[in-house]
Amino acid sequence: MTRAPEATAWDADTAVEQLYAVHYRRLVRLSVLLVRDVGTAEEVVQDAFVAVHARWRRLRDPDQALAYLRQTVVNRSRSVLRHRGVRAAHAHAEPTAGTTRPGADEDVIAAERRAGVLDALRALPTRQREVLALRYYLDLSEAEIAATLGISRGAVKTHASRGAAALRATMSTEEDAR
Amino acid sequence: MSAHDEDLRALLEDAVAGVDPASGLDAVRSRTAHLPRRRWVLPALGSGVLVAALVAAFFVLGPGTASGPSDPGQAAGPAQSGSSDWYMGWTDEPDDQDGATDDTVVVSSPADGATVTSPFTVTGTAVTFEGTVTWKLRPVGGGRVVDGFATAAECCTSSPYSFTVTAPTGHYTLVVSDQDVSDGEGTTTEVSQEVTVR
Repeated sequence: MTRAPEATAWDADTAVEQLYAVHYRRLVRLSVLLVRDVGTAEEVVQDAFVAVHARWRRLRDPDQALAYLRQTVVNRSRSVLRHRGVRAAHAHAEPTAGTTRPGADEDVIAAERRAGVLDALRALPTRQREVLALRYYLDLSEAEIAATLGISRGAVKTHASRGAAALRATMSTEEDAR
Repeated sequence: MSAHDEDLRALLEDAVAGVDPASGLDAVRSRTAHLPRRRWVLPALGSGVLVAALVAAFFVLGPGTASGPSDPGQAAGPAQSGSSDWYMGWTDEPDDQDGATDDTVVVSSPADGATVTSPFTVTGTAVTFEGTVTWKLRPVGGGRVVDGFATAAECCTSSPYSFTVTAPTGHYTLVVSDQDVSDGEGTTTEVSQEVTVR
């Protein structure tokens, strides 16, 4: 992330608006990979921005604020799944509401493929899902993922390896079934 | 990332490519509106009132009467009132960068140095992840530390919390802190104060 010249002089309002403009959509998509539901993901990310606003004077640095946002989104997504039973609530939900445009065969196939990926992610253990999302969607390094999740780099490697293998196996099975 | 991983990167990118979230910026603004913001508003308003009063004094009473707030007379009333409003408004807002007004953990009761009887209730407000506040009651001079946690009413915004502490007679240091999700330095707030239990 490129730091704006006057970033450290931002007040909390400015910081949140600047960070929001750049990162909101990607953070919501990250949360969708974790919780599957767009509305829940939007709430999670809004919570994260409110938290950053409250802590801006201590964070000050946009890079640190972004790391805090990522960490809050991941933790909050995990918490939502645990406390609100989103898994159960959306076990039979239509895939990724608002993302499909039924009508064309290609659209239907694409929607099914996306739903299949989200279902496969949902079936993974929580840590594996989080590591895969951070590694392959946000392109974070092992060190960054370890810091975000509060686990060792060795654990990141293990979760990434097992999660990737499980995801590939699931997707391969789905491809064969089509 | 190796080329071998590109398939997963593409898979995850595609899975959420169609997600177009609704803007939540207004909601974020609304939820942060109670926090100190736009500190120029009150001083500007006060300054505007002051300038308007001086201009009115100039035209109504003549140039000699609007020389400053020390001048007695009809025009001095609103001028001083405007100045007073400005002063009061400014002091209601944070005027330095020490973070005093956005502490993520505040202990409202008991006051620092207070004497209480056991059990006693600690109340305050906190901005914490998942609303979790942790606390310790540490005997001054050493001894068994009592600790626990409390849950604030709401996550991520200033929200009230309370917990009850049972402790034997003695002089203690009460430490209340937030449970931060970040490993970054300086992002955890810890409030420490003295309390005597009788």
